[in-house]
Amino acid sequence: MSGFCGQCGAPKAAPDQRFCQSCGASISTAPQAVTSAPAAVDYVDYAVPAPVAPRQRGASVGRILGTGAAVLALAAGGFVAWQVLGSSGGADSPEDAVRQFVTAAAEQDVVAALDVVNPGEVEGLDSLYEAARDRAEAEGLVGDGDLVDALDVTIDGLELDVDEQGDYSAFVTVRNGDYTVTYDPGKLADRLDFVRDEFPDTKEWHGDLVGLLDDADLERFGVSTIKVDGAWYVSAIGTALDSGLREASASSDRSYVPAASDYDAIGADLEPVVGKDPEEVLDNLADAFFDQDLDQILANFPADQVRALRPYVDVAEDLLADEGVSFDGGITGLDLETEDLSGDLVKVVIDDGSGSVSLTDEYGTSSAEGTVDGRCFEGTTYESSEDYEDYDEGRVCIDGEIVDYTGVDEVYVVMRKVDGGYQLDPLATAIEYATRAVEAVPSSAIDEALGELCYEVQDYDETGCP
Amino acid sequence: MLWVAQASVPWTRRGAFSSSSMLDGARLLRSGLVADAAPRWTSLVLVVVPALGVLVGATAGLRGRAMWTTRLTTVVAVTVAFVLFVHNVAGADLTRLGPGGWLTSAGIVSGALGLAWTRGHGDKQ
Repeated sequence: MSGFCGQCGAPKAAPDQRFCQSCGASISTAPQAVTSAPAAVDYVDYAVPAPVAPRQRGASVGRILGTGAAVLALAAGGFVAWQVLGSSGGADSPEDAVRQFVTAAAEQDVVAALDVVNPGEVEGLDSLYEAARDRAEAEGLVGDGDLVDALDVTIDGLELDVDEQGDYSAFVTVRNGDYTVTYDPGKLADRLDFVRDEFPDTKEWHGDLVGLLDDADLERFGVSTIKVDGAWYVSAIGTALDSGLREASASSDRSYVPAASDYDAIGADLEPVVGKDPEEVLDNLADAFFDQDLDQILANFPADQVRALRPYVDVAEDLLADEGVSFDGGITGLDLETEDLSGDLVKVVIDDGSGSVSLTDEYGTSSAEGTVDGRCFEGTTYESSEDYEDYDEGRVCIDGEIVDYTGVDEVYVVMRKVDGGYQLDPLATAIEYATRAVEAVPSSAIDEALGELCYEVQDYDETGCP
Repeated sequence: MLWVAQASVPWTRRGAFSSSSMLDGARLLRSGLVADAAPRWTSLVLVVVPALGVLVGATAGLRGRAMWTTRLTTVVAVTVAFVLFVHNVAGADLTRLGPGGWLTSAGIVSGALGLAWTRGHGDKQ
């Protein structure tokens, strides 16, 4: 039987064809009970208009699309999980680390900056940052936005030179780059009105970064990067020491860097020295100090925190030997109290203790003895050389204004629980003192500082200053 | 997919998340490096939106009233998360939104339009 599709008019290809090849409409091959117009449409099943075949095709297309979307979504989910759970921070190269850090610093993006800074050197700094920010907000020194809303910094065309120092360290300097700083007085915090009054107009400064560093006498300034667990990080400690040593090398006959520095020590495994209790930690540290064993001193601190210091151990030991310096002394009678802080940190308060230290070099001997008694230090100092001798004694206590301005009313260090014991954590100690000071400094001191700033900004006119 | 993509690009034009992504932030929180400012579990907050994006994508082929309601809930949840992020990350300033912020909002709009369309075509029944 031949004929045409009743839906689109396409010719039927075979007598037993059930669906139109052109439009997919259903074609009934069953005998028809048609009472009218039989000749033209005798094979079209008007009684069953629902197009079964197209719906199946639409459903299968939908299934394919749905399956594709599901696969794509699961792949995206895998990517998200890998990003959060599988990867660590840092950058693939020293150049990338510095580039990300500079960009993040210019844009005031704390997250991006922390991502490429050696974790051991910034752990715990967030608490100080939060304390400073809360205090600044409470004093009306910042708004809800950025730290310095009124200044917008952009860096363009940044080109860097990389001086590779072994497998674990690289010193990165700026070869080229432009900066733009935009000042918008409208975004200044209310308490800085005097700055807005003095500089009411929007300003923009452009320049090249190399020229800026030259003008600031920082020609040799660069950023030190180190490799930790396969990723590159900016090291604040390394940057300070490397830049300083390069400056020192340039201004003396002696080369401190890079020949004298063992940069591969950054990647070396160092057996940590852990005290079973806080008192043993301080004893171990004193022993290493008086033995002048700098490697052992570093082994007493959290490894990641002092990793960037390791290359300079030889430099320091050479310097001490050149100057004929030797130390002697010890600590006794420690009475310590501990208090748990957040995480693995423990505050160790020194209630009582005595110590002495003497330093001998080619010029003579200096020595000091002292005791800690609660809030008070008491001690003597003695210096002698061929033509000079001096003796002094004194007592100083933490009270009055010191407590008011710093919030510090006891002598303490912060230790970290490591491998079932303790290590002294210099960074956590500094952060603990600084956080207390930020929270304690009285509003009157901030008023005073703002008054002095106002006085300077207004060309030594104190009219209207706080 | 917009909700997944937004987590991989900078969310703002200035300040935190202007040169880093939500996933960078989640990784940083999870590392415990900023545990004093925000505990580790808060990293989950930053991956809520991409996770919901994955959920919507993975169930794209499913129909019915229950799925429609699930998608409606998802769009509402992402909208709430978006408002919270804009407030906390961008200081409630829409002019500070970067690509991530706009991708999220585009995802919300397209999600809402999709819900309206499927409701009109009987998907809710």
